[in-house]
Amino acid sequence: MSSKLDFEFLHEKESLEKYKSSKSFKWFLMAFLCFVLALGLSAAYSLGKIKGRSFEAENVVLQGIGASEIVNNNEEGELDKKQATPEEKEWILYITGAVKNPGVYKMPSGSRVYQLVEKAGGLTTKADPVAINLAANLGDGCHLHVPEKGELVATTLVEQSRDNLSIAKDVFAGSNANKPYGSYEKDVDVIDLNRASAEMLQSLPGVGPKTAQAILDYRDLRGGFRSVEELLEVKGIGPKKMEKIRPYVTVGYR
Amino acid sequence: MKLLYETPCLCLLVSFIVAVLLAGKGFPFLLSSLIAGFIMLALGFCSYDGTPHAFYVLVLCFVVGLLGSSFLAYRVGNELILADRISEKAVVAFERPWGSKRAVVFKTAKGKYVADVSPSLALREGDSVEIKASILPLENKSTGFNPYTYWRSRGVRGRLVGLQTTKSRKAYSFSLYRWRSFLRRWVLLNFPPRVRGYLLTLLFGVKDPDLAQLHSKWGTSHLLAVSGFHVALVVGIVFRALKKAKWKVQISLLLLFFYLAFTGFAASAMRAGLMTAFVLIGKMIGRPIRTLQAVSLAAVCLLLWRPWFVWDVGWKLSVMSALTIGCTGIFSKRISLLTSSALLWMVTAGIVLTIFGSLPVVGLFSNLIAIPVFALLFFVVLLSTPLVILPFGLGTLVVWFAEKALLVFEWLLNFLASFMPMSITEPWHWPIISIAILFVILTKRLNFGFFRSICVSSCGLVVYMILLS
Repeated sequence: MSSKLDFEFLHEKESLEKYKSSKSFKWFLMAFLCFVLALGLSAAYSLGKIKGRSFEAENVVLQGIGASEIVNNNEEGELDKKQATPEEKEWILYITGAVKNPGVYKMPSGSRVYQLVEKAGGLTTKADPVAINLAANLGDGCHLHVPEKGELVATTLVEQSRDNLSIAKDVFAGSNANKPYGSYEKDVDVIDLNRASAEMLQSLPGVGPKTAQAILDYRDLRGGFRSVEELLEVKGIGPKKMEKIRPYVTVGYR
Repeated sequence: MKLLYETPCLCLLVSFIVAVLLAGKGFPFLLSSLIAGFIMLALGFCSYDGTPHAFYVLVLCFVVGLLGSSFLAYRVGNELILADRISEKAVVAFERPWGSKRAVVFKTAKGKYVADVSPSLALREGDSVEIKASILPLENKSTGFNPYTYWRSRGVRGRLVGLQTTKSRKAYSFSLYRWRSFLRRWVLLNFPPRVRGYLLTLLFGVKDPDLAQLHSKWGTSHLLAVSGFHVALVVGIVFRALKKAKWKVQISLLLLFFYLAFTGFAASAMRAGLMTAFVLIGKMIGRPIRTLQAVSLAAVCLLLWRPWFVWDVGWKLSVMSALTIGCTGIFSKRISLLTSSALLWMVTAGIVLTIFGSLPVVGLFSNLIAIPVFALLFFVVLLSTPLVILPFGLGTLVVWFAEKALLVFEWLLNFLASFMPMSITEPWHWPIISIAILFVILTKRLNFGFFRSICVSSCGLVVYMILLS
């Protein structure tokens, strides 16, 4: 009886083994298919990305040529120029400080400070509404910093003018609490650390050729400044010198 | 083919690593997880035998792998939104030399932040401070040492610049960091150099520079990083001592948690700790867990916690070493000690050479003697710690004995190293060799068969090279 059972068991085992071996090759092929799919997907994405980059580069070159032609044949006025450069229809702006969602935003050209603040979720409860002129004009590539109450910040807006000089105008109402509401600091020249040349940097208090070069080296190395405080990481600038420089510098959109 | 029956977590680990590395390369998180899912399926189908049990495991692995990969890839691919400034109360959670400065990690209610500070600030672990600073994102470099992955794997969110600190006058607030700092100071002041150095390593995960140099020369640097060796030693002592106690597993687990906390939750220590915890829990519930499954599960848990561990040297070395040890069963017991030492040396060679630039040949042989002898010496060093408070200088005698024993063994290892002073310094081919050896022994251990072993190892190498490119 037991020998019969053993025989049946062995027979079952053999048939299972046969079944497994015949099937296992199919599963192995499935495995290979999955592997090829994975490789194919990653290769397709990588190639697409590379192609996309080259296409963007070509586009930039073409747009550059178009713009120069328009400048040369500047007969039909500024309207044509605006039509030829679609990126000017939309400004890219950076807002930081006491707003609900600080960050980089795309806004239609001609936007004002209050629109950017609204897009960033509005002012937080800590924001100092007196220290900022919500009606001021913005410009493409602006960095707007909304200070908190009691925060000592010299500038909040940097207008990236085409001649690479950054001037903050009319936006910041001054964080000095002694000043009356509605007073404006007008025509304050502020140097944008991300665009300034060595000569411009040397005009800052306590900054000589060596320190100016150190600032430029740091900017090249790190790809730009994100905040004015980052100046403390530059060789030759300590907290005291930093406080002297702070009112005259700002950080523009990189 | 035991992969799906014995170590399904290895499939998950592979898919998670692939997903994280792809997301790190800039792939969208859904695509990363899909590719990782296919890689996992490929591995699963390789060991699939058509039985319903295996099918359920495969489907479960695929679903968990896909969800987990998506979660990890999403976390890696999306940068944190940081506030501009911080003005908070903080505790110094960690500090270490950082070039000519010191890197200090501040733990605040809003997360952990790192700052490079001047050594003259004299901030120590456990100090309560008030900080005011601007927050910048961590530097992300594509070549060489990457501060981003280093600090993210330690839970740091951003770096502080323009830091202003005010030390709190409240001196005796309880915190683990303060206790660590206090005990470190006690060890530094009460023990002779060698015992002190090893105690700092064993208890706090701090490397003594002199010992680090010596162990680097002997090729036994892994003994200075808190890993499975140390965790097994500490927990093993307690587990053995409580052999007849009813609550031995629970007590061991509690002690394990405190030990990990004291070592600063280093990646390698966490991996070893989690693995030990799984083994202990398996024992407790009567479901013993296999080494490879325990290692994979521990690694998977760590990745789910902090996906940036994939780039952490300690995590990589620890997981690869533990997987290699889990595979030593493929050799006969007579030669397993010899082969495990050589295999560990070869499997870790790629990472060691890439990171440290040189790999001493003597490590191939020195580990054979160093591992068992240091296990004994570490045991003596640990025992001597509480004895030092004994009256009439009785404890000092034990510490003196431990110090002399360490010095004698140091002389012996120096003597051995003098016969083989050469080191490998060319790293170009070693990462490939190391990974290939790991794949081959893993497939052999999981009974893949010759043809499948070759195929799986080759495909694994292809994926590895693509991910590294």
